[in-house]
Amino acid sequence: MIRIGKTAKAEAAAVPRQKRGFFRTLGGQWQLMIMSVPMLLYVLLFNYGPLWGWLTAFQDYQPRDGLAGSKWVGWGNFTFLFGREDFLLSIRNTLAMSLINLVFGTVSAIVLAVLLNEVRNRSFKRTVQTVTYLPHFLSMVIVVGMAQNIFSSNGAVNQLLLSLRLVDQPVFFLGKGEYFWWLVGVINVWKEVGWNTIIYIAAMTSIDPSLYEAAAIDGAGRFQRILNVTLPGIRSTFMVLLIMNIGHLMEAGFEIQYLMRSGLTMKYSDTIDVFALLYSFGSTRPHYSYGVAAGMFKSVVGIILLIIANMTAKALDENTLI
Amino acid sequence: MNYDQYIAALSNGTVLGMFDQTWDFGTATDSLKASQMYENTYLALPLVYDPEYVDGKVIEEHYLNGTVMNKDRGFGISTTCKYPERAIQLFETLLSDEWQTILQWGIEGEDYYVENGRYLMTKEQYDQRADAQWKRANRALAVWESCPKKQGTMDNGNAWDPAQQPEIYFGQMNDYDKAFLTAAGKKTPAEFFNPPIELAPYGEAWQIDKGPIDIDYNNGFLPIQDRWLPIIITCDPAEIDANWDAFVAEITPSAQVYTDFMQAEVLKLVEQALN
Repeated sequence: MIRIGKTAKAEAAAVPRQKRGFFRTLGGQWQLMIMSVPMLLYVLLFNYGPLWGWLTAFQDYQPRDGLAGSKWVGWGNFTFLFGREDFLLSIRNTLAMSLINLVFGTVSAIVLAVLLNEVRNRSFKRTVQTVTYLPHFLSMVIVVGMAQNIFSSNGAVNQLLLSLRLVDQPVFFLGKGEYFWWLVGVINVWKEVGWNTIIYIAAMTSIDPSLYEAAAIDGAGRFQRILNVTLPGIRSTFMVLLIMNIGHLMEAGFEIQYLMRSGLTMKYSDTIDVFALLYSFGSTRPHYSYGVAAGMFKSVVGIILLIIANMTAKALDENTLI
Repeated sequence: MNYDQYIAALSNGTVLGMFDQTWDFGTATDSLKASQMYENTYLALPLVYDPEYVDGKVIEEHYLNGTVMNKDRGFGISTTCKYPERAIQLFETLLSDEWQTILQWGIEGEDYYVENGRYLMTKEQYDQRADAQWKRANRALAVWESCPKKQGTMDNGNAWDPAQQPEIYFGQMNDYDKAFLTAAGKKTPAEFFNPPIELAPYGEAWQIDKGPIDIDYNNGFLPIQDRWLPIIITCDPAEIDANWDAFVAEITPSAQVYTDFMQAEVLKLVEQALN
């Protein structure tokens, strides 16, 4: 976990600070420095290095001419993108699916974590935990394949609805664009709920048991203990995860939408990532610049969102990331 | 429905008919044959307008084309290639009768046998050619699918393509297909079509490189079609006209780009052919 929060600050304040030069500190911690070199190299090579490629967003990039020889077009690629209806739709779809995923994912994870926290039978708790997080390791291809069978017009869900006489005609879950976002949300919850729970359960185990005892002595029932002890106890974890997730708001996923999209749903299914792929490689000739420009827009908006979320949390005197 | 679901439906034999081209659903046909569901494989039929809809004009179809050189595929030799002659020699070797026979027929005695100068295959040898796994392991498809190849008849009278060798073609035909063709009074499925007409000297429009308009075509024209056609086919009959009009209104701009481009390219080809 990232070390943050008031406790860390309090510790730092308690130790009397010695005024030392930057290089003396560096020399004193040379073992730590050596240990961090691989990480630093990794970040520089794979995260900062490829940023040069962003230059192609301002070019009509042709692999034949390379980065140096391709024609510069200024903001041309961006004006092109914002002139395409499907790009604007892909921004909407990305945000919509992200928000649905964020809300569904967080709520389901917290609910499951609270329920598991209340279970006293250890072996039952372990079993449920393992069973719910196993789907996390399944490939999205398999998950989408299963979902397509379950939600198809003669699949399990439709058979259930028909036999309960809730509908007279099978519902085309996969053929109606309006359902697509919610299907993605449901599939993501099924796949990730157990995995997302782990971090909340870890936070709950660190809550001081004497708080529960005190609450019980004061006459708090189960629900009141959940409301007044458990939930406030995971508040800082929740805030940190929320800030991180807001930074990832522009990443609604790629695999699930790309695998599940079809002609009928494309107005609702295509995220910015799918758009970038279809415009870069969907044609007879690759158009790298459109894809890079779309990806760059996504990253920049993501960074801005992260900073705003962090500043808001700071203003509310919550734990922050940066 | 996306392409995977489409192929899955075809492979199950649950689809009666569709508008498509053999190379687009070959995997489905292969798996139908592999599970011996011959009565579910597909027969190509020419599609023409009913004279009633075109002012009583009878339209002759020209679906079959004669042999045409496919200029779609190709290989490049880089300028830094040290021995360009050797690269060309490689393709010359691949185009030699010996290698073409290996690539198309296989190894004599192993994949086919020769009787009185005719190249023949046992049923087993022929059937394994439809098996996707066997093809991947034995047919060098990565090379074969894009390298230059010979078609038609060899100098010794055998067909280059085993599937076109008459003995094999009629020998491997399953009883269902035989009975079907006899009942229809035809010898081959190709007889359902008019014989090919002689090609105009300027070639065929599908070979035109659509690169300059590919965003309009691949990211405009095709997706609009993919979105609307299923809606129009599955909608309530009362809404067909409204949906069709909406489809036409949305696709017209990119269709116009496409027709203008193709028109200009065809004119260029005609000019080239005339000069």
